[in-house]
Amino acid sequence: MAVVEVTGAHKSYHRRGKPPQKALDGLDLSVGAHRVHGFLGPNGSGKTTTIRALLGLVRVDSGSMRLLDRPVPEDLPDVIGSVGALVESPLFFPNFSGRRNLRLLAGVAGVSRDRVEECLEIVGLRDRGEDKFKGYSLGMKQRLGIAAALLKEPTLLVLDEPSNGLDPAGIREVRELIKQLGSDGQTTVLLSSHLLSEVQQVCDDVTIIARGKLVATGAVADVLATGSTGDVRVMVPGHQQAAYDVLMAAGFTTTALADAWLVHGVTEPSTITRALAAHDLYLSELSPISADLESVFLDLTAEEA
Amino acid sequence: MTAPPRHAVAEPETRNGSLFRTEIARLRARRFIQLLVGLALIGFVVLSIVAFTQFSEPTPDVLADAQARLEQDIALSEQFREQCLADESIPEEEREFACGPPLDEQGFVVENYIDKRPFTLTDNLPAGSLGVAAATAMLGFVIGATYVGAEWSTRSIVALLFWETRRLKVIGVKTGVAVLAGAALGVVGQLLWLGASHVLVRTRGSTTAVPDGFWSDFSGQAGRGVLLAVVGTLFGFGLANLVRNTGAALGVGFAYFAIVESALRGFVPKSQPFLVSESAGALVEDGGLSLFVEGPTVDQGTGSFTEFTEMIVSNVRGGLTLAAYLLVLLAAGTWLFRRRDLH
Repeated sequence: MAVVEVTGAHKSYHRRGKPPQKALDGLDLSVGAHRVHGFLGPNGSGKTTTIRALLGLVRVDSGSMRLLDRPVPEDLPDVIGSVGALVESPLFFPNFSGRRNLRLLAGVAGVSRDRVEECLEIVGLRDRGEDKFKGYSLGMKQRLGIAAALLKEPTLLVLDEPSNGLDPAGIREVRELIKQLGSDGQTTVLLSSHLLSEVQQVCDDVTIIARGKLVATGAVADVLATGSTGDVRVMVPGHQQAAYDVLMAAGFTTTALADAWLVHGVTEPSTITRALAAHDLYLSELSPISADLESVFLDLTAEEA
Repeated sequence: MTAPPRHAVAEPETRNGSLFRTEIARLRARRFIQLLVGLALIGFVVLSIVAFTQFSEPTPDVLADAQARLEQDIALSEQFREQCLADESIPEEEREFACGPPLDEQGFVVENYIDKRPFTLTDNLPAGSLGVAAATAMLGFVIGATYVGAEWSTRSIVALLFWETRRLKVIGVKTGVAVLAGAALGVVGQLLWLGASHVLVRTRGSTTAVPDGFWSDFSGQAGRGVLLAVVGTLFGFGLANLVRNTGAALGVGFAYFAIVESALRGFVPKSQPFLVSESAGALVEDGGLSLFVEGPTVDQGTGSFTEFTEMIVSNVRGGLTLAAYLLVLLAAGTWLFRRRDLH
């Protein structure tokens, strides 16, 4: 069952005196259960609009959306109790303490005060719970936003740029938290981020969008594979020239590096091992050159642009 | 951050939350609202003390002095009238009109010669109640505006929609809380005034019995005063919800009362019964509001003059006019809140 399902969503913003601005252009998105799903796209690609539409803040012009297998926005009131969300910057009363802000939200859904304390503990704000929200650092504000999103013990957690404003230690903690949530077998996390490394480190699946359209989707490893070069770095210490001759004879195209060979168009790296071993040449390195998410992302979104 | 524990909390569908209770808590916790209410209470105490100094039961000496001054004025007036009636320069047929009526018709009253009069329930309680109604309506306007305006400024209303997605319910509950706040403000204001009056009448007042029907008339007026406080709060709430900002709402309110109403009274006198201030007065005042509406200019040969027609705007009409404005304001804000995308 897909926890989040968006099909053919269109949304244009109409501004007086300006042409309509397309935010979503037939977007499709499918997020599987109990996974951490990265939602990646350049600025203005429609990520936040999609999340806002899923949470009922923005009305799409056409297309269908489902959350936890229920159509939204129609059935949103029935499923919102299982959805925690942090969208862009956290929204709280500046003159209320962090604890009071959380308690007010908890009161709406009948969440216990114990759970408020628990969430403050999770994000490391229990000792600062009585401080006014306006006195919090950017990172603390973000942590409180995450605590608010966790209050309902959501089965779907939607996080829009959760690392914003956090220091390196805070970023690592948030990523660990997301990983833990994704692996608890009960929570699905939809993580919208512009940080490619974050998505690559944390997510099981990823959807890449550009200009309101789906560009690529699937398991992170599969999406990375689409950008695979088929190049393999080969090192045979002391026998580089002999190795080159064997590879050329076996039909490989090869480029010289400083201390190794780069073999192109390799679909199965074991063929190299076999060819060299047959001539008593033994490898010290055989490294497929895999694309990182950044290059895949840039390639895919550049094509779309 | 620590690992999030999972345990048996109530399932979403079985949780018993209350948006209404939460909204009440949010309203009560707002520091600006606490400050406004505190200042209003201080203002009330100060005005009560001032009132305390303005009333007193006259002593026999004061009464004797007032009586002497009254008789002196009567003598002077009588002397003037006799001289006037004897004045040959005034045509005889015009003398009676020019010299005024006989003294017994001129109504010299000894109370007018006393600097500090006693506080009387009949005269002062309803007048003060009107003042309290106006003050609580204005205070309610600011409280209503800041209550929802702050939510728009901080965008915490958007965060609230992550918890309660039914926008009509959200705005309905907030409107209900604004009504409750206005009513509480009005009731407390009227009760405080009643209490202060009780002290004033005991210490600085006349114990003359009130006429029959006084308390029922006063209760009606005080009740309508509470209604006006609710109306004021809803106007502030509705306006701030429409423009989505407390400051802008207060600015619009100020511009309306200071500029628009003054201009309309001056240039379109017939609009008076439809103005908010006049309708508010009509709603609260016992028997409605008496207005003198400018009529046509008449020339009867002795010079032109403008005729004024007295018009009574009843309690019901004043209330209905305000209700119509409120309905439009709240409906427009609700419609926009329901329809608009929120960012």
